[in-house]
Amino acid sequence: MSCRTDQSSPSGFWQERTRWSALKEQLFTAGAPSGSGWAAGLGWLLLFNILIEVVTGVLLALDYAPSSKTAWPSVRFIQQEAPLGAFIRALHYWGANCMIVLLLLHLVRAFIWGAYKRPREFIWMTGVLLMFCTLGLTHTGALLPWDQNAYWGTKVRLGIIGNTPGVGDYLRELVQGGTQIGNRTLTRFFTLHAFVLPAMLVSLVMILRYLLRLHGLTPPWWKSATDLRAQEEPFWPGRAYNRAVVLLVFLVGLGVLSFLVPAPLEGQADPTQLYEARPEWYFLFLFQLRKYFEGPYELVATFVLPLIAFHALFFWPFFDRHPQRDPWRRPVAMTLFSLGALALVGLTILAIAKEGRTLVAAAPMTPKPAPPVAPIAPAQTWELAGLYSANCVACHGVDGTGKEVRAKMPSIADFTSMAWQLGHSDQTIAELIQTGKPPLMPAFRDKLGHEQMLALVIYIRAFSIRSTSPGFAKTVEPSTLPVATTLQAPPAPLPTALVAKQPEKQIKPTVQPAPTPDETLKKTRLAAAHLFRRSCVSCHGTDGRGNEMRPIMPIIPEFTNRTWQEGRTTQQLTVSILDGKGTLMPAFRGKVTEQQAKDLAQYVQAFVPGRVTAAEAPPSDFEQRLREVKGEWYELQKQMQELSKPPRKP
Amino acid sequence: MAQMHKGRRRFLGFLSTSLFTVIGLCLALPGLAYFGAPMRRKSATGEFRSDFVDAGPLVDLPVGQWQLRTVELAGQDGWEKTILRYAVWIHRESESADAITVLSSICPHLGCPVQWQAARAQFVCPCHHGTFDARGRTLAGPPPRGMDPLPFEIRSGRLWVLWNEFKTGSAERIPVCI
Repeated sequence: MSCRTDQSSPSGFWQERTRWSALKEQLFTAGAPSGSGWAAGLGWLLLFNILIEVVTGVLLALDYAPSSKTAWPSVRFIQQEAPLGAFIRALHYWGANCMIVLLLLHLVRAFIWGAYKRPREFIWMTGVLLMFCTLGLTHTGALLPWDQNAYWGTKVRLGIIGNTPGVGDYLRELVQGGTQIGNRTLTRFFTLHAFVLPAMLVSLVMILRYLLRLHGLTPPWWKSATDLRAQEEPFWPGRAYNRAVVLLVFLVGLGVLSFLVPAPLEGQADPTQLYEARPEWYFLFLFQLRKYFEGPYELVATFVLPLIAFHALFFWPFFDRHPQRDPWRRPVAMTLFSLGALALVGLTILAIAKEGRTLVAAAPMTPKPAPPVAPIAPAQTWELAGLYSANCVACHGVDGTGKEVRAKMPSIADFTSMAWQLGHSDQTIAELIQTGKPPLMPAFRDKLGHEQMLALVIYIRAFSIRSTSPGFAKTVEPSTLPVATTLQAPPAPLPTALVAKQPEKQIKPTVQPAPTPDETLKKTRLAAAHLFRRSCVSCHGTDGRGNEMRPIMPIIPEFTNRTWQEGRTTQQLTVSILDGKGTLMPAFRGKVTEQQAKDLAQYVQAFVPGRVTAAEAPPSDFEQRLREVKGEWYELQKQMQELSKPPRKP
Repeated sequence: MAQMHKGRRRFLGFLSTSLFTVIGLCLALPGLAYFGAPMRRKSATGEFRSDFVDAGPLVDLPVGQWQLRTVELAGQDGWEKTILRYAVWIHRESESADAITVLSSICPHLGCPVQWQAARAQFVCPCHHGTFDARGRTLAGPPPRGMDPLPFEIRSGRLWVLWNEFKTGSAERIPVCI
């Protein structure tokens, strides 16, 4: 009591109303038995750790949106865009890991000290519950980022829950919120993680603190009662100082760790991407244990043993009731405990040592958290323009404005609009190409590879440069373009980012005027086939049936249908091609000549066999088109390089 | 006086306890019922609930190779109608249109995505190393049954697959409602 310094008047304003000095006396200045140095500090660290988790958790919840569409983007936002977001998230993540470590250390200490002996049985049991509550928090928290690891890890855990004898199916659906992992799983896990389990945790901590007040800290077994009394010291300020030093060291350590090592965030959860799920480090022992039990005995590792372990731990104070607390005089208890701990550590080490990964790399489409620029394999330039012509040009137009069809598809994007370009990340565009966008943009998942889609993204990006650069004609006249002579040699690897500079790889192709079209060559079926591929296929399909678009364009005709064909003449079809039809078929006048339209009409009619015969076709038209496209791209590339002279941040 | 009221007091105590218990139950029961609602939905009716869905053109399937395709089906995910996406392994034995095998990519053990390893000519689950032969039959590891075959149809040159998910960890194939 010697340190009692503050003697406020009992009639002070606050004192009169709150009697706060009594509380202060109770909490800080009353003599407390000497704790056991560093070991007692563990409890304090844990309390502090919980506080960090609560504060960072609340901060994270500010920007987190639990649903299968928004969870990952919101976490990615926290991780990459929100100021300090990555740090806060890392604190939360590493803090949770620290909490597991501290809990384990605390458990070991309590066992060695015999802290569970009468009358402190309930303190031990509360502690065990607290530990399982924390494990519940880490498991529910693990799903929330909705990345690949979260999804597959949870899937395995829910699978294990589902195999619980008897009630497995019900339990799984209860936790999962339905038969599939989805929105309701996320909201359930979020509710558990952010409300239910923290409330339980805080209640348990309060019960624990109350019981500790009641029975006092477990004194070290090597000190006699008189020693203890001699060392009795009020919390304030001497002991508080010690605690403050420990907390500060912990805080700085955690802060540095969180600053240096960000919390992992993998690509968005995708049930169609292969993934190799592994448990967190503190569950590796169970993962390893499972390997020794095959077939129906698997339940031993996933259910029976964990259940036994929990009960053994929870009810331990009632198994070991001898009042002796000196660990050297408790050989049976200490042996059992050491064996258990050894088994745990050994299994964990085995699991790490025997780790055989089968997947070499993560799934290809998985967006990595750190680099926002998607890597692209070297694609050939003419491939790029060709890709665009084959798949996109029919609706989006040669110039990317989509103006020809805007009247009928008002929602079509204008690639030359700066607002559109700024509003869409490379990732978003790639995803739009991949999965399509109802009601009109079809999905190209089955038609294009990953690299092709990324190449298209770059091509689409180039439209903004083209239109904003003054003095560059929007439509490139093929005849005036410089054209490289050799088509086979790839000119240069594509820039990996939109504005990548490659001055040393500057392409210097020999240029020559485009060959004048050979007047003697007739427009043939091959040319028509090429035109069809370029302009019609994205809606009407390679087989002319239009099956892919039918769900969103119910009136699209089936060219293979004889009845449909017989109801239309070549002339009618030609008019439809030139002037458009209905609300969706765009007008191609200006894009194709009348002769080309007629050829196309005949090509369309050929879908029903025996109507039009095709002549043998020379390949020159296709090659000419390729040259045009290549020249176009060369010009585009030059523009890009010019624009990137003052280097922009990629 | 205290003696006189002892019986009355005990009765009042009993009454209060009962009333508070009733109040507590009134608060807890609707909550528990709401929380447990997902359990009341009937699971596993033993029927395929979904329809055949498009799994891409047939021509792109190389003969004699396993290929991973994505199927999409419309489903209800909580409050929103959404597209559920799943992966299937497809194998074409010959040019004949019916010589096709479609296997679910979901491991029958605990639901991880099974991977085809061409070098070993085996399917391997990366999570617990269950292995299956080139027909999807269990070879080694924990899976209690072979990979799940899925019915399919050929419609105008495209492969249509009847997707279903089966309960993991069980030796029988018990369909799970989507």
